[in-house]
Amino acid sequence: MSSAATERFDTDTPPPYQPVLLCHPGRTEPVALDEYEYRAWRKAQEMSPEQVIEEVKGSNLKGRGGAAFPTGLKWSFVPKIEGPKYLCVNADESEPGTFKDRELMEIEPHMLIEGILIACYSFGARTAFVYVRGEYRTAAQRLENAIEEARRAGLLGDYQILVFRGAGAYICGEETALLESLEGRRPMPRSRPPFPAVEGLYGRPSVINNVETLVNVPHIINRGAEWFKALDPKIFCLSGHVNRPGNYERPLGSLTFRQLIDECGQGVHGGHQVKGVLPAGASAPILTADKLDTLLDYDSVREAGSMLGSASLIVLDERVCMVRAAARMVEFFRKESCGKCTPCREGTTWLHKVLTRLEQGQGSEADLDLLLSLSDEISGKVLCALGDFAVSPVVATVSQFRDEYLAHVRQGRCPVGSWAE
Amino acid sequence: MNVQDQEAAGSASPLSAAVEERIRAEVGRYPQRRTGLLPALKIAQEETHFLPPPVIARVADMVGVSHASANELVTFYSMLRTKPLGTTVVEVCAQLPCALRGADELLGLLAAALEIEPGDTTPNGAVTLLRSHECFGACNRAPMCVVNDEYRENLRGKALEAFLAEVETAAGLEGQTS
Repeated sequence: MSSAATERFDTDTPPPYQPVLLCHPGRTEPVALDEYEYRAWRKAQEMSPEQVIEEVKGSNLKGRGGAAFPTGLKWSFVPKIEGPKYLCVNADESEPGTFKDRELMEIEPHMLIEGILIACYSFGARTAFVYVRGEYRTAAQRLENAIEEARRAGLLGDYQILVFRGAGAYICGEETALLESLEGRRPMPRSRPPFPAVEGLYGRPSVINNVETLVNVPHIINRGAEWFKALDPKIFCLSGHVNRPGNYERPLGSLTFRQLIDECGQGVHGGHQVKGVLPAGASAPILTADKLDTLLDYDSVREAGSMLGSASLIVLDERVCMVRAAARMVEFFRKESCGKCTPCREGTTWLHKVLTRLEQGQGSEADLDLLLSLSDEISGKVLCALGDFAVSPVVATVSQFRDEYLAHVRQGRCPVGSWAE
Repeated sequence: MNVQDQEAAGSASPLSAAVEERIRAEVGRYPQRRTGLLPALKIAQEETHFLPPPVIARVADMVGVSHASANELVTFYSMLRTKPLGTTVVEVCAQLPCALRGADELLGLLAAALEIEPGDTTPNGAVTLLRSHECFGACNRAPMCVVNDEYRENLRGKALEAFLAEVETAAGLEGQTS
């Protein structure tokens, strides 16, 4: 394998990265059971549950849903008590710019099932729910087919995996709202504590893990914590103004924004320049073009002033109106705010109203301070992260593109026009 | 007339026996019946196309929750409908990644082809055009829309032309333009 790889490249050029998770590039049909070995699941059952948790802890795997909480540590928080415990798989992928879990479920359903079984084994759950957003019909169907294949092959034993379909609500990706939705109630986030590890689904100890988090687990068991720690694979969803949008798997910290855009995305559409990149969908502050040489890992992106989150990179070229982009993102959060906390429910409505009038050239300079003051009234004053997500496009664009906002005020119109394509 | 009155008057359920059977089976899958409330409402909607109060009440009774509890879900989730829509529902994703790749233009073309505004249904009830509140997770294949739950992606060039013609046919507008 290595000789073939080195023959094609200079000695200076490293061989191309071999994806671990998206290991069937270009494939459109799901990997079936006869193509997939449940080797890690067999190996895990020969280990003690504590050993499995230690291995995952040692791998340094962090939650891929956006919060980057250490997965092994999360599992270790589940109390060792009698009675039901639950694994809830967060497959409610709804962040604008995020489409990795969809591809994983559609192509690699058995990798997810194996991760689910190992996770359940580690902290003593016998029932897992997979909360798939309602729009992902193909993903949910393929996952159900794969679960049935695994069940018939006797791989599930006394474990039960239930696919639960959502019905269109971004908030269900918030872990306690997801639990409310599973319990048949309006999906409004819960106050914490108690944390789900202690009191989760049906008041029982529960773990909520993202799809991409769990597909890493079989590889950790098969190849060991040290191997994983050195590699740390991550899927980057690349969208917006690039020539080749898509999911690209690379090790965390192995490339920069610029390299991802140029090498994976084949550059910016139409040869334009990058104006900014949103590293985590609509939820994290935009980074301007001078930050493109930042490495793609959690710490580097944080030091650059944003967050890597779920690594959903939306590229905006120099023709995009930042006021309009901010208004579009805030419109999303206004509609998706569940309405439980007043600052978020009312605040996102006001933010959208003010941004819309600014974008249409009917705002005033004082509106910029109003936006920042409204943001301050939301941030940190609500139960879940949606409020903070909603203010990030506002604060980041007002502070980094103030002149563009002022141009709208002075000219009485948007100086840019329509979305550039 | 609420559902209790209907039952007292001997009225039939607003749902077919087959759908009621599916709802019973669905509710029985879960550790707690109430988990089956959202799936049950979706099963009912497959048959009734939207969820008027008698249907909501019937599902709530079958699951064993108050009618208000079921109504709370119906009025929250975007995929549950309180009003009838067209036979074909075209929902365009207008979130930022799609907007950067022509979603607003796609929505405009569809509105022009159907001779309606987003949010409206053609006068013959054939097609409803919606601007989505959600991101559909197809940003790598933008612009896109969802037609009766089926993803239609990379709508540009020839694919877009064919799609517009298809939507016009669904709306019964083809004859008018040719």
